[in-house]
Amino acid sequence: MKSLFIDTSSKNLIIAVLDNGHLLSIFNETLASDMSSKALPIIQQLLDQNALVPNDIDVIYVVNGPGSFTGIRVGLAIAKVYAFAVKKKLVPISSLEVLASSVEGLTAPIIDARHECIYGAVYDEDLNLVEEEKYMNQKTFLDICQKYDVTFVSNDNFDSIKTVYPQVNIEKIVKKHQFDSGINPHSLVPNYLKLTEAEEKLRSKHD
Amino acid sequence: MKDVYILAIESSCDETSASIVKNGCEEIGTVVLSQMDTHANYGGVVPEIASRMHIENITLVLDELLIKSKLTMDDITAFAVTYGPGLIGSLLVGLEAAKTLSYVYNKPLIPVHHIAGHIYANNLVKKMQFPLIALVVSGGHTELVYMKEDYSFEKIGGTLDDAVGEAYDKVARVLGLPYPGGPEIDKIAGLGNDSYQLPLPLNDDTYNFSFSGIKSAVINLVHNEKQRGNEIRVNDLALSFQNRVVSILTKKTLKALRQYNVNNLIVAGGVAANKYLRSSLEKMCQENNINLVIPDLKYCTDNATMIAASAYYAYKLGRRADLTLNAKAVDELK
Repeated sequence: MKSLFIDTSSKNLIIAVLDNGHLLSIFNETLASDMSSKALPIIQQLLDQNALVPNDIDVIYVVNGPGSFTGIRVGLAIAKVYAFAVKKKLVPISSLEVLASSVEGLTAPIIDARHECIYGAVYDEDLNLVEEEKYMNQKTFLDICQKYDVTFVSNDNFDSIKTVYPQVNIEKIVKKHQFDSGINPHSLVPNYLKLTEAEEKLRSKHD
Repeated sequence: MKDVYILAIESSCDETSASIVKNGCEEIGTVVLSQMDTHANYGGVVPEIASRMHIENITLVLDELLIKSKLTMDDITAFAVTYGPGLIGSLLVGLEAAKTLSYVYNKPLIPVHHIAGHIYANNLVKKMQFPLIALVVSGGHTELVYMKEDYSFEKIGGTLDDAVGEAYDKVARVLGLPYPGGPEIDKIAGLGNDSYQLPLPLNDDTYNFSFSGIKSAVINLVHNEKQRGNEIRVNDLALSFQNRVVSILTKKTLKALRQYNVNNLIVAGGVAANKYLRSSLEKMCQENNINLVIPDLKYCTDNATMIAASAYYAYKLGRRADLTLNAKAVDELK
């Protein structure tokens, strides 16, 4: 049972190949730029290393957000078309859950969403959601987190929040989702957690 | 020679499209999913919304294409994709999709320039005769291109500012016409008289165009007339604007045909659907013994059929891309 893990939602490109839930190969690096020119070549490289062809993959796990809008779409375009083509199982994973896999205990993964806002959530030890994923003001999130003893995890730096740098645990995530039923490639869409500015303006005009 | 089936994807602006073309000229099947109704709410294409709709629709479009054309991926010789120019976020969806298909099916990937696509839409109508001059007119482009043979592009002139379609849309907005404005201007101009004095834009010896001046002239005119409390004769203004634009396009195209001693003219891009431009070019070509080819309306707007048609010649020339291919917002035609 081979699986491919794809996360293009931040500046960190993560590609992993697993066999029965055990890591065979992983690429996890911060890219200077160009998610698009890197993602597929790395997938090819990791499959080649393990003497696998695209059709050998049984499950594709793909991070569908929140995070960089463009970045998310790069991974999703690859995963959707790949799964559509080889007719294999496709499982969406949250970028916040990926961050949460880094540490033991209660975790508050956060992603900078600019203008003092973040995407955040709270997860327990077993990667179950304790507080729903939301796009919100940093301060609102800190207030929510006050009742928990959480570790903040992020790739980004914040003035008012002390965070640890993620050491993601792909095996833990894949184990958690191994029995997920998967999603039809046509139905898989990004989880932006945020409208576009144009949509927000149009909506506020109508209110 | 064995038949070549190319499956192409085009997503450079607000149409998600996929198509299969046989031997560069025979359309097997095409799917175009237009987002125009959505963007009309915003008075123009919103790039982030366009990208979002592309990713929602990409596999649906591919699925429908295979059903429609009664082919499987095993029948496909190579994949092609528009890598630029266009909206980066939009381009990337089609690009990653095409690269993934190329990888998964282990078949060649052909990068296609969007304008080369527009030009080769003509091959779907009639085999292009060389040498030729191509007049490319769309919402993003206004170019005169000289081609001495297949896939040899020499850009001899282009717009220095707004593309012609862009100027149409902006003028339409000032006149209070719905988006997209180009076809609206074309429609109401037929009801007007050419009664407004507007300058002939960049009426010089080059092959370049400039439409920001005439656009500003229209905007100022509307503004001043409103301040004076005068009513705008919208139909008249639409015709006056259109007459100047079509006149300079026709004039410079003829100059290029003469200078390069060429008897073949092809027209490409969304504005090729404009009735005034079509009839003006037809008249000019008739008077000067020029063979004119203008694609059917369905091939004038953005579609993947033209990308697949163009890719066939790139394929024969051995042009290939690997999985590192990236999208380019701006890129010279070559």
